[in-house]
Order: sequence, then structure tokens, then C-alpha cells
Amino acid sequence: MECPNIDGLKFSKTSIDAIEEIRQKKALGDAAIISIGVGTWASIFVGNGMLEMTYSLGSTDFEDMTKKMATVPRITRKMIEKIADMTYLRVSDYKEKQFWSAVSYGCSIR
Amino acid sequence: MTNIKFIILFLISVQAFAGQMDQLSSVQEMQTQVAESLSAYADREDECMKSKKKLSAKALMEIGLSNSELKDALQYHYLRNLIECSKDQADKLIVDLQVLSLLAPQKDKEADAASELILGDRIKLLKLKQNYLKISKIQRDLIESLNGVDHPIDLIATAKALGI
Repeated sequence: MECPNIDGLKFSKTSIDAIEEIRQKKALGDAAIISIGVGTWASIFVGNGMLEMTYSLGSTDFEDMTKKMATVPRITRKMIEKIADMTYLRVSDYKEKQFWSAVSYGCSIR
Repeated sequence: MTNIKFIILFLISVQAFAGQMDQLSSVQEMQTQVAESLSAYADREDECMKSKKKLSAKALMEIGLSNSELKDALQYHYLRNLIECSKDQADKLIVDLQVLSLLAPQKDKEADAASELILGDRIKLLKLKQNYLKISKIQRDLIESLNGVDHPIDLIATAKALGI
């Protein structure tokens, strides 16, 4: 499937609610990253904490960070796919269906 | 006498420090466990979503549901099957997050956010079930006897085949 160009797309209340739900899931995902203890990385990149003057990072920290940081977005991505699938079913406008089908396919994050 | 007081104070400090270190290493161990559980859950979710299959439009049409009932039934079975598919991994993750939250109360907001992310679908399913139960028992039995209805469903492909 190719990611489509959609002109003149107007969101119905159903789509707006679904978009809001996706935003909430993304916010929860961002907060959840801290709970898995990406440690130093989380304190640098996630949240609004004060930055310290110096940090000590080893090569394993980099590998660890890459692996762990990728997990939560993977989960969030699947959540978005579920929301998109169910919203596709609930909307009736063709363009909206096209939009949610594309979101389900992953077009929104490519 | 002063020396003895100093030694006692020193020992209390050492014990308190050791206690803090124990607590810290427990938190770190639990964080590692949560990360592993998260990874296992993410892997399982990938597998579940990849195994989605289209239901037979012909068989669904024969049940004689209205479009609205069809949508309610499909949404309910879609979400129920996906939750069921990764339930073991999700349950373990939620328990690990709760343990982490108890060990490190300063992390409870983040652990709660992760739990909410996982449990949100279960709450949604309860709401979808209310609508599904409005369909007659006879029709629900027919839906539940369909081939593939208890496995992850390709909702968009099924909807397209049904023209809804």
C-alpha cells in the first residue's frame, strides 16, 4: 500500500475523538519511557527536569538507550494501529476511511 | 565515651547507607525486569497484529445483522482477540510495573502511565461489550461460530469486503 495524497479531508467528530485518543496514548508513551529506567538518557531527553552540568555515559549506555527507547514507541505504534482500524469502521466518509486506512498502515509515522 | 558514641553513629550511618544501596539495586533490578517485560509485550503485539486475518464477508452477511450491529460485533471481537492474544505478556508487565511503583514511589506516575497505556484497551472493550450484548443471542452465537472470529481480525480488509 502506498501512502495516499488526500485533498479536502474534513474530520468528523468520530475522527477528532480518535485523534485525541492517539495524542493521549503518545503522551502516556512518553511518560512510560521514564519508568523503564533509561536512566541517564531519560533524565536528559524526557520530561522537564533540570539538566546537570556533567554526565557520564559509556558505550553500553548508548546501546541500552537505543534498545529501550525503541520499545515504548513500538507499543504506541500498535495502539495507534488499533485505534485507526476501529475508527475506519466507524467513519462513513470515503476520504476519512482513506485517511484511517493509511494511519493503520503506518503512513503517519513514516 | 566519645569514641563509643562516634562508633555507634558511624555504624548507624553505614547501616542506613547499606539500606539505601539495597533499595537502589532492587529498583534497578525491577527496572530491568520492566524493560524486559515491555520488550516481550511489544514483540507479542507485533506478532498478534501481523497475524490479523480477514473474516468471510459472505458468512457475516448471512447472519442478517444491520450495518450498525455488524460494526459493533466486529469492533468487539477485533479488540477482544487482540487483548487475548497478548494477555499473558500484558499481565506480567502490569504486575512488574506495580512492583516498581511500590519500590520507587517517585516513579509511580511513570509506571501508572505505562499501565494506563496497556489497560486502556481493556476499559474500551468493556464499553464495546455493552453494545455487542444488544445483538440477539441467536445472532451472537452465529457470529461466535464463524471461522477465524476468535483470532486477530483484519478489520479494514473485512470492512472493505463487506462494503461498510
